[in-house]
Amino acid sequence: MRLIHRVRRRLRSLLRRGEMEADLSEELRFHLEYQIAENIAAGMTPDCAYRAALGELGGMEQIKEECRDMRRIQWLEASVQDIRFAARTFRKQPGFTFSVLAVLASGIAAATAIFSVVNGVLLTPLPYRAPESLVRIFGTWEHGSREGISPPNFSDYREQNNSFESIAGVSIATPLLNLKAAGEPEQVRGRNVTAGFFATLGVQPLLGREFRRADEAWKGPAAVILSYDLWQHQYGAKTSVLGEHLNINGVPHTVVGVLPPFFNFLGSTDLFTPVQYNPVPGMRSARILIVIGRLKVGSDLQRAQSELDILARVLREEHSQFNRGWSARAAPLTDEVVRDVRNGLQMLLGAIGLVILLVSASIASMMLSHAAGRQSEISVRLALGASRSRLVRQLITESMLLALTGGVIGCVLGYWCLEFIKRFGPAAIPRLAEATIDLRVLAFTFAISMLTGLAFGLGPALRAGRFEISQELKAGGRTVTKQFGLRDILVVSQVTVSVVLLIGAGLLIRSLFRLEAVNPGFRASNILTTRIALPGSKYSDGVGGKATTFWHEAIRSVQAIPGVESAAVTSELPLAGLNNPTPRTATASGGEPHHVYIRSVSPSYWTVMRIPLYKGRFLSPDDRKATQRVVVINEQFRKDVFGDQEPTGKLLTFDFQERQEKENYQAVVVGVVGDVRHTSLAAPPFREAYLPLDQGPLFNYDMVVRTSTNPKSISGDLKKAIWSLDRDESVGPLRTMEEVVDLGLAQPKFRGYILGGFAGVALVLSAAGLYGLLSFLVTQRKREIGIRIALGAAPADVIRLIVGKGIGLTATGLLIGFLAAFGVTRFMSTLVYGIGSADPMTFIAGGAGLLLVAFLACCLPARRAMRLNPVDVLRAE
Amino acid sequence: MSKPTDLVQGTVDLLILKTLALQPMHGWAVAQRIKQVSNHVLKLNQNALYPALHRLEEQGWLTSEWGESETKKRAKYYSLTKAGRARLVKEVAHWRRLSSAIEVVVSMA
Repeated sequence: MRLIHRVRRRLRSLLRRGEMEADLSEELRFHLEYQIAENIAAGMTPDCAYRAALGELGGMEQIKEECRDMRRIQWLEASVQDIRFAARTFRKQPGFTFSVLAVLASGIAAATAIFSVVNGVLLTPLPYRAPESLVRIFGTWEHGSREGISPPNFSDYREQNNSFESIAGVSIATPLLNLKAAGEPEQVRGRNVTAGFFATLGVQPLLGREFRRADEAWKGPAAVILSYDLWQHQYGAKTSVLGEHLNINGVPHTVVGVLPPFFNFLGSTDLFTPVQYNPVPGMRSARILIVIGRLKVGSDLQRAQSELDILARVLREEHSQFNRGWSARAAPLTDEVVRDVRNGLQMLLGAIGLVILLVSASIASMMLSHAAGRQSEISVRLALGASRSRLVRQLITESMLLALTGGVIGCVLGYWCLEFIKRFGPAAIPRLAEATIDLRVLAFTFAISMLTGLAFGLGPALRAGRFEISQELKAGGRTVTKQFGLRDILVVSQVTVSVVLLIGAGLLIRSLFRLEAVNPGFRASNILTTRIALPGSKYSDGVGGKATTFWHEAIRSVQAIPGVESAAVTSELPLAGLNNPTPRTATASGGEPHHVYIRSVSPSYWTVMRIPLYKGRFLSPDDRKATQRVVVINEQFRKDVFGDQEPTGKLLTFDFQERQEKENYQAVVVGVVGDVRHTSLAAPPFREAYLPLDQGPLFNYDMVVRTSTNPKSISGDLKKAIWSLDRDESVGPLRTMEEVVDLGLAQPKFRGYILGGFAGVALVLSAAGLYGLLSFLVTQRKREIGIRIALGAAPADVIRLIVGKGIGLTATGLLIGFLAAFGVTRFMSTLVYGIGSADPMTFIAGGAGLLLVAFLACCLPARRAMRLNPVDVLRAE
Repeated sequence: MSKPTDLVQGTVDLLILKTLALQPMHGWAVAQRIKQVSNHVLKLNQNALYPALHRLEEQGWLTSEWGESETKKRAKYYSLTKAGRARLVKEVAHWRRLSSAIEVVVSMA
């Protein structure tokens, strides 16, 4: 009962405040009247009686306030009041409010977006069962390279290991395939997987089953597992899809399973077929599988690694011809999936930390100026009887209100930023699509905004609590308060953070320029490229067969298109991701075997790409299936293998045994061509051997077409030309070579632009901080400056006073910033290219840029100080 | 801003509750009654009286309603609730214990 009574009373006091207030006034007035009556009765004049009664009652308002305080509802009521008051204060100062909100919201937005990306890509565990016990097993040669594992080697590891619950493989390559299923024919990405691949990851098929050992047999069952998306759009999510037939590259396959939605392993794949390899010895060197394993309970990475070492040694000894120099290395799968982008994202996370610091410093100094401007207001309110705790709470409410508003706007902005990053960010960041603003990110964001609010609210509020009212009122705003120390520190820290960000951004952007300036070894302008996948069934008659004929005809008909200068095909388009990432070995007669990447190209390839010829000749149309096998090598190959010797005419032996040829593949070197950056612009060229299309054909080729007009303008004609040869042929997306190159620069650009943006914001914020501080200084010292001018100080002296202070602070920040940057940028060494992480140019340029901006920020207040009219200033006192 | 009360801390509640136990009264009457009964020894200042009344009401020991005073003016009359009576008993017991203890200490030879 009492509780209900109390709740009702509190609600009443909250909702019917006016009534309660009136009651309170009336009650006290009643008391006052009785007191007056008593005083008159005691013989005072009415006037005296009134005054005496008032005096006895003490401050009427104070009693009222105390009575109100007794109603415990007041905290809520007061909060509502505080918030209203705060909102009014902010409305009266739109400039201040806007700047604080803008700084806070953009800081939080940047933090939220980048943290979401990092969270999605790095922190969120892989969407597989118990991802911590998943490892990736590499084949490695030379200096810890990371390659695939060949199917026979994989089988041996699978049979002989004791550390893994299960191990499985998936093909590295994701070739484009022509699919003809229930719906429209389309080009899809396919992968081969071994039995138990999905079970190893802990993924259950939605329908049907995954592959079994029996499916791995050479020329075994043509089974296929569909991705959820493919099942949706090809079969309309029909549950009776199992057992249906579909054609992949013209070969009928039977659907045995459908995967759950969002299955993704190193990029999305539309369909999976079993790994079925030809059991010939040479297959040992076809390192085409990404192998993953699930550690047994009780086993760990180290134990697994030592077992792999033993197994790899056995494989080296038993199959030395293929496995010489190769070993196996296990690494946590989580690390592997994001390995390439980890450094970049960690750097962005660090940068975000700096941005948050900077935003905090900016807001702190804005709040400080704001509080300084309100000191007289606060002392008046103290004098009128406001309690200190009440004032402190008011100030905290204000800053929390700002922080929360900024936080909410920031979250919305951050959400947009994340969507923007997901849409336009580099496609090569794995798992980026999975990044969402999740609860953790929201918590992080709100923690930031609450903490900033509290921190900046408390500073001025605590100082407000310490005011000596009388001093403050006496000073009449003339006080030079001690907060200069704090504001100086804030400006210095802003400058410091800006310097670090500027130098970091400078390093990345200079690296980007260096990367863009790298000669890729070919001329990218005016080249159109497309990937063409041949339907295997029609073209499966081997070297020099129908496939080769098709390519020659395709080249001929594309060359007939008006505007086309020349056309060629290559098995490996530079900078477009690797189709055949496994190095083979090539041995010059009497020499050591060397690892080498194999390309298969049509004769005009180098002409189209403008790759220079150094020695000998290019391949020619006369290098046919039946003629002498020939090979063109790149400059790196020549240097590494032949040194000073004349390379042309030398015989090379390759390890192509999986082709079921009786003897080794041997070819004569006929030419040496320039190096091409294949994997990435940053990666130095590697040994390459080009085989003629007719002698070493593969199924998937990229067509490269040099045009005399805008390359995109011939897109339609190109498709028509291909389809006129074979209507079943699917043509992949058409990209210009420049687009391909740009795609490779997407990640460094992304990093560079984001950090550049941060640095720009940092520069603006620290300039604003400096400007604000100096303006404040000029206002506070107006009188002093006026007197100096009146006493004959030259304008230069005044300028020196103000600018000197500004530059002094900047120089301090610059110095600390340099030291910090020197320490921090060392961790960026994997992200910079072509320059050292302590590149003096960048340091100097960053410092000079900052000094210039700081100088400009000093000039305006200095000018204002110089123009002070001493008469005005002194008269205003 | 020292609290203008000469009363022993915590005794204001006791005095108010005890006074109101007789009959409902308005604030002025409470103060007058205490002054008279104590032969002008205890003077409950308004600064202490009204906040205390509001606090006691908030705690549910008092309840209030508007009525007419002897001079035909609108006045706020406070009266003891059931909980207030229970509280008074406790406060009195507490006071007795405290005062006798103080008495013992003071009259030590």
